[in-house]
Amino acid sequence: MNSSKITKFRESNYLSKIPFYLFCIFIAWFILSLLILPNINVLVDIFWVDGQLSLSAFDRLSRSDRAIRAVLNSFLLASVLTITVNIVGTFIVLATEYFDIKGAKLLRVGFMSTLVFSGMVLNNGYLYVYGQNGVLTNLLLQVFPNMDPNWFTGFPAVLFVMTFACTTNHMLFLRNGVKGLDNNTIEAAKNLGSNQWQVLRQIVFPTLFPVIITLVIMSFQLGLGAMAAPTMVGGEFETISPLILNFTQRPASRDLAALLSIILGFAQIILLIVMTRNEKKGNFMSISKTKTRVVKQKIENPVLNGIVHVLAYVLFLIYLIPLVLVVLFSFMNLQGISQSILSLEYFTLDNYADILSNRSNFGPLLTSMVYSGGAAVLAVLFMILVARLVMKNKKNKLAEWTEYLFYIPWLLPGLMIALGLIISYDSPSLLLFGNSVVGSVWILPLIYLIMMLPSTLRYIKGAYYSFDNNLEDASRILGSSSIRTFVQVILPALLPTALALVALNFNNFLADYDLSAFLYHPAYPTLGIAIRKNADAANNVNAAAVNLVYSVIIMGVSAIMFYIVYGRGSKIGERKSGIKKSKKVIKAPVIETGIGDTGVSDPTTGGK
Amino acid sequence: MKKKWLLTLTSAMTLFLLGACSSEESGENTGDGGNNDENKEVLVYSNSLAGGRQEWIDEKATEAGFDVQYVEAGGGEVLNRLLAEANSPQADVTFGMDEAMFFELLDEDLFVEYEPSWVNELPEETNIGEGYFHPLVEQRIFLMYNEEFVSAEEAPENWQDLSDMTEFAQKYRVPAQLGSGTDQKAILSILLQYVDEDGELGIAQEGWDEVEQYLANGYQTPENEEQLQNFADGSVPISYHFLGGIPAAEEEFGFTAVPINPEQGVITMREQIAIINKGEDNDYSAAEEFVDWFGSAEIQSAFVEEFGGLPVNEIASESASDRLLEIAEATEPMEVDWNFVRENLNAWIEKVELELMP
Repeated sequence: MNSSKITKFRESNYLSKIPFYLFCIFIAWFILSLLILPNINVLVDIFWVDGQLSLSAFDRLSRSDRAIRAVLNSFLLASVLTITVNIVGTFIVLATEYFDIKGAKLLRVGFMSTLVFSGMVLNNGYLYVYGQNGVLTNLLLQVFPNMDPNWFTGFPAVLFVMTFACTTNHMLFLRNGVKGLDNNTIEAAKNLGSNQWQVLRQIVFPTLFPVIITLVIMSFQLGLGAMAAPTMVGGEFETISPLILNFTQRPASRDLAALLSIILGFAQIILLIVMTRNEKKGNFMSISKTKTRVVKQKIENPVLNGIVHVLAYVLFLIYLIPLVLVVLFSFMNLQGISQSILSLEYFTLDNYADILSNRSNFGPLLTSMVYSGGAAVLAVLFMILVARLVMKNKKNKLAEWTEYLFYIPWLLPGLMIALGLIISYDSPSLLLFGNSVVGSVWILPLIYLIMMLPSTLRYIKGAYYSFDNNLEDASRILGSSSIRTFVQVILPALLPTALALVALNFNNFLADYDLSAFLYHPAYPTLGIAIRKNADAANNVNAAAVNLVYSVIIMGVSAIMFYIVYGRGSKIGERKSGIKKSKKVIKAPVIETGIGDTGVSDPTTGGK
Repeated sequence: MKKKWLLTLTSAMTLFLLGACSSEESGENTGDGGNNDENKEVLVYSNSLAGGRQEWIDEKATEAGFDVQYVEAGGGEVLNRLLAEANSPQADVTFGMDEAMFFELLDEDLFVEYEPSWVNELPEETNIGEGYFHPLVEQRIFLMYNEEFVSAEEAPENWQDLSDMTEFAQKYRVPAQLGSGTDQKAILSILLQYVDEDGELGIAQEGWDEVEQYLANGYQTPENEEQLQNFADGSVPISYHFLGGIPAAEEEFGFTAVPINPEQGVITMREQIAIINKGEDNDYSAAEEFVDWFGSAEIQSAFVEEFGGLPVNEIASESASDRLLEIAEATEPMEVDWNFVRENLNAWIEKVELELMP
C-alpha cells in the first residue's frame, strides 16, 4: 500500500530511528535486569538448597488437603466468576452507556463506586448488609425466624460479593469501548432493517471483542487471586492467595508460595496466549472515517424496557448500600461497630478527629500519592510505547516474546519480586549503573511500577485494537514526524484508557502495606505503614474504628483523584481523539489512503 | 491540559523527593564520620513502635541527644526485611521481636556482641542471647476465661482439655491464621508439651493429634468479628491473649479475664534488643549509646507507665501496673528451649497450616 511505502522510506532514515533504537535498548535492559534476572535469582535462592535442587515443596503441598482444596476452589471461583462478572459488567455498561435508561447518570455513580470501594472495606460493607447482624439478615429473620443468621458465607457469598466488586474494569474499559462505538454503523444497520438485538450481536459486540477478551482474562485473574472476599465472607471456602501471602512472609515456606504462585501465573498466561491467538485471527472495527458518538438506544419492547430499568435499579442498590453503610459506620463508636448496630446513641466524631488532627498522617499520605501516582503514570506511558512496538510488529517473533516477558510479574507474588531485586542488587551493580536498591527511596515505586506492567500492557493493547491505524498513516503522510504523530494522534486516542489505567493503578497501590513494610525508606513511611501503626489490633483496641475511618478517607482521596484524572481527563481525550458529537461532524472525504478525521488540528493545511 | 499539568506536578514531586533524599543521605555520611557526640544518628527497625510509642520514644531520644529514624512494621515483616538486607544492613539497632526471631537473625551473623550498661539489672536466666541480644519487656501468652460466663470449676485446666469439652465446642477461640506471634504461641503451648526426639519434627504424634482436635473443636474468629467483643459478650468466653494487652482490652470491652495457669506454665517470651552488624569498620558508638539509654531502668519504667508491659529489668519492673503484676503472679513462666523452638518453629507452623488446620 502507498502509505506503508512512505512509512518504510521514512523509517529507513537512519537518524530518525535513533530514538527507536535507544528505546529498544532500554526495553532489553529493563526486561533483562528488572524482570528476568531478579526473578531467576529469587527462584534459585528458594529452590536451590545446599547446592542442589530441592523440590520438597511439591511433596509438602501434595500432602496437604487444605492446599489442594484451596487451589481447586480458586480455579472454580475463577471460572464461574468469569461468566458472572462479564454478564453483570456488560449489563451495567450497556445500561448506563448504550441504552436509554432513566437516571443513567445516577446509576453510573453507583456502578463506578467499586473503583474506590474495594478489597476488605467492600467486604466489610457487604457484611453490614448480609452478615450475621446485617440489615437484610435482620429483615429476613423477621420473615423466617428459623433462618441461620450466618447464611451469607462460603462459595455463594464469595461469588456474590466478587461478581459485583469486580466489575470495575468493565465500567472503565468496556465503557470506553462503548463510547468509542460509531453511531453511523449502528444507524446504517438499523436502516438496513436490523433489530436492536441484531445490532448488539453483530455490530456492538464484535467491535468490542478485543476489550471483552481482556476483560475475560482479567476476571479470571481476579478470581484466581481472590483475597479479600474469601477471607472475609468465605468461611470454609478457602482460596489460595491468602495462603500464598502467608507462605511468602515466612522465609522457610517461600518455596511453597513460589510454587503455588507459579501454578496460578501459568494458568493465567495460558489463558492469555489462547486468547491472543484468537485475537490475531481477526478483529472488527468500524471502518467509518467519521466517527460519531453513539446515540443512546431506547429499548423498543416496553416489557423488556421495564425489566431492564428494574434490574438496573436493583443492581444500583446492591452496589451502593454497602458503601453507604461503611460511611455511616465510620461515625459509630467501637460498641456500634463491633455489634453492627447503627444508632445515634453510638454516634461519634472522635474517630475522625483522632486521625485528622494527627499531623503525622499527612506525610505518609503524600508519599503514597507520589509513589503510586508516579509509578502509575510511568507504567502507563511505558506500556503505551511497548504496546505500540508490539502492535507494529505483530508478525515478529521477537516482539511477541517481548510482550510475554512483560507478563512475568504475573508469575510471582509482589513480595517475591521485591526479594529478587534485593538479592540481585543489594550492592552497587553495573546493571543499575552503580546503584544498589537496598535503602534507596525509589525501590518501592519501582516495584509498584513492575507490578502494574502486565495488566496495563494488556489493556493498552486492547485499546490499540480498537484504534484506527489509518489515523496514524494519515498523520505521517501529512508530514508529522513519528514522535509528533505519537503525541498528537495516538496518545489522545488512547487517552481514556490510559487515564483509566493511571487511576486504577494509583488506587491499587495507594494503601499498600505488604510491599511497603518490606521496602519503605525510613524517612518516607507510606500510608499503609501509618495505617497499621494506628490501627494495629494488638496495640489499639479501637483498631476497627480507625480502619473504617482510614478506609473512608482513602475512598475520598481516590475518588477525587479519579475524578480529576479520569473524569475530566477522558473528556479532553474524547475531544482530541476524533469522536465528535453527532451534531458537529466534520465530513471529510473517505479516500483510499485513509485520510479522515484525524484529530490533527487542521487537515487541509497539513501538507497534502 | 489538566493531564499535562498533573504529569508535570507528579514528576516534579518525584524529583523533589529524590533530591531531598539524596541530599539527606550525604548528610548522614558526614554525620557518621564526624562528631558523634552532638549528632548521634540511629536507624531503628522495630515492631514495637505502634500506638504512639514511636512519638514517645522520639521525644525522649531527642532530649537525650539522639537523632533516630524508624522503620516500623509487624514482627514478621521486620524479620524478613532484616534477613533480606543481610548483605548490606541498613538498621543500626533492632528491638521488639522475640527470642526465636532474634536467634534466627543471630544465625545469619546479623548482630555484634555488646554488653549494655543495664545487663546486671536483668535476672540472669532471662538473658539468653549469648551476649548478642538482651531482653527488654516480658510477654506472657495464656489461656483465659470470662468470669461472667464461666466459673473456675467449669474452666479447662490446660489447652488440650478444650478439645474434649463438649460444653465449650465452638465456644473457645482458636487461631484462624498463624501469622502473628500470639497465634503461634497458642499452638506452641500445646506442641511443647509433647516434645519427642523420635516424633515428626521433634513432636510426638499425640501432640499433633491434640493440636488438630483443639483446632477442629474451637471457634475461628472471622475477619469481620472482633474476638474481644465475642469474649466480652460470652459467645466465645474462652480465649487467649498476651499480657500487655489485657488492661486496655478489659477497659474497652468491659470484662474481667481470669488467666489459666496450666501445670507446665504459660509461654513467656521476651522482646529483645540488639545492635546490627554492619561490618568491622562501622562506628557503633551511637548504637551502643542508644541501647544503653533505651534499655535503662529509667526509660523502661517510663515506657511501661505510658504503654503498659512488664519490664524484664528488675528495677523497672516495679513500675508495671497492678493489674499486670496481678496476672503475672497468677501465671508461671513455662520453661522453653528457644533454640529448639527456633530450629523447628517454621516447619511446625507450616505443618499446622498445611495439614492440621480445618
